[in-house]
Amino acid sequence: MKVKFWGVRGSIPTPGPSTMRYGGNTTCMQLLGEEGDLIDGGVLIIDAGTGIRELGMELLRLPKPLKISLLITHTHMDHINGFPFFVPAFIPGTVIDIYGPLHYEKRLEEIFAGQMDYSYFPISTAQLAAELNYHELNESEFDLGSLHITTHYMNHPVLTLGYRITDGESTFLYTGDHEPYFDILSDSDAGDLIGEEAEGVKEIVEQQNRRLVEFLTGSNILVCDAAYSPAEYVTHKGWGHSSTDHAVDWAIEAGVRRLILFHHEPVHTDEKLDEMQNYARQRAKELGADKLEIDTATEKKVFS
Amino acid sequence: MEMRLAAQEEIKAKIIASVDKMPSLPTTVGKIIQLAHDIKSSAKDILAVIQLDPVVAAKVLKLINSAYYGMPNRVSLSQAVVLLGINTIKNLALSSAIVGQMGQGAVKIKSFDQHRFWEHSLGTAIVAKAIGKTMGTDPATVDEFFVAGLVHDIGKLVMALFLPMYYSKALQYAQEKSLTGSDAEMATIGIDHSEVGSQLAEKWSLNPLLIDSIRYHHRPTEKVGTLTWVVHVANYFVAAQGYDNTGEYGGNTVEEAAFPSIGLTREVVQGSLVNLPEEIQKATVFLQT
Repeated sequence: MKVKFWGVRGSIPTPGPSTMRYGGNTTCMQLLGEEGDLIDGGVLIIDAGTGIRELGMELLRLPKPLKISLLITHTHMDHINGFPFFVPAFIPGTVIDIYGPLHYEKRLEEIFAGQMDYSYFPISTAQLAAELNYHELNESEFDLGSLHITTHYMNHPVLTLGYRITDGESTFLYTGDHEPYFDILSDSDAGDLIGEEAEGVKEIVEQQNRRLVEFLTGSNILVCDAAYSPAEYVTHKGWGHSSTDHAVDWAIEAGVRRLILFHHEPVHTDEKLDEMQNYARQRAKELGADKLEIDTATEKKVFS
Repeated sequence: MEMRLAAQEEIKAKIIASVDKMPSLPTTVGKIIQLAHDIKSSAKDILAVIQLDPVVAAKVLKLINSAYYGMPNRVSLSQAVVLLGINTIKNLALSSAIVGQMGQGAVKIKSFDQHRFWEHSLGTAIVAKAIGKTMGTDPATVDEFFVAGLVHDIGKLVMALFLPMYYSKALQYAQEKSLTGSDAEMATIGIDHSEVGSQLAEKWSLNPLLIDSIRYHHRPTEKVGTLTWVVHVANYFVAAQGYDNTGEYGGNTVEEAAFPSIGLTREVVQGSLVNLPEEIQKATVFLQT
């Protein structure tokens, strides 16, 4: 399995000369099979940030009708707002199966339709010619053709899923947006919990962080939220994103072959991303993980 | 006649006294709404409020541990806050607080279908919120529309829970004479559910506009207020969709003045009802005991 990035940025697109090399579109990636664009005769996309627009144009070269599976990690804007510009959705005969996390207030379909409300966009989801099928997921496992997919709850301010995808030979893993669990109660100003309750919180924090490493273990490619440098993380704790230190440490602990640093901050220039990549490689080396390959997600680039 | 009046006065006094037997904790609801609207409120703040109210706490935990969220193992309240994060907890607490207070205890009147009562109340809450959104109401206030819809008929539950003998007579009378709930309650008990509900809301120290919306939802022209109009309209459309409320046999009507008052046409409101059955079914997760 290979992954091709179409959008690498978090939060908001950042076009311009300082982001030319790594790219300025928001989150979107495509999994590629051995034979190219298709896996089991279908297209597999994860997240629908602004990068999905160009991917859509690219897919027009393929024989129709297109069968597309779109996995959504969570429904924050930077992960869905390229969808109204995804041309295959306008083509009759296209079938798009959209998978995404369950939300206790709104259906996935409603959230997709919401961003195409007439106030925001002239065409509604109802007018799209493609057949759209929505599948709401919690932590679970399911098969998609020959692929086996496992989902995992991540720590981000809205229910977010990490995806583990295996074809029997290799395993691809994408964390989605994630920050390590920590005791948000004791970290607030009002003082700490005491006794049993504090123990309980400590226990669940450790358990969840341990479960994450188990989820990542054995993946060949790990695309990991590494939005911040360690110094930036200190001032962004609680925002739902990780640092390069977190990503490197998880990759080592989980025995990953290739770590791809992802969800680039809008303020990070190409030079800053180079610097962060060098730093991450250095850290891995210092920790004795000589074999761990570390790269930075780059638009249009394929990693295997 | 004298005797009948005296009996009615006595019943009325009993009902008002029964309001005092209701749990007094829903001031928590007010605090939760306040914290939910404050971007600076911390996880610790919200936990402290939820912890004060065992019923709300239990409700939040039930939701988090339910199959709906599918948490891998049972979690405590503080663990839940850590796992789900401050924003989700705020949202959950807000939605479940009020039902958590009132969903307790079984009504012992055969003709009062408690499930149907909550279905109608939730439907009204969902539609009131949808109307609020369509009206372009500030998102912070839209949640109050939901709460107002949820509690508009709460007086019926008070009567059903605390004075089942008298209230069952009112229900029977409404059916026999094809009357509205209020008319039948006034004739047999001397006080109606709008008054009982608003007295309960006063005891709970809810927002005065919310109290008005309970008291005047059947006669909104008497004290004009946006929230009251919205509840009045939502109540009508939800009943018209087949989620009619227990004890109402007098026909379902809406004041025409309601539409210009909320600035929406009948068709626009109608349009907000598309997913109502599904929404109600989904929201009943709050009602599971």
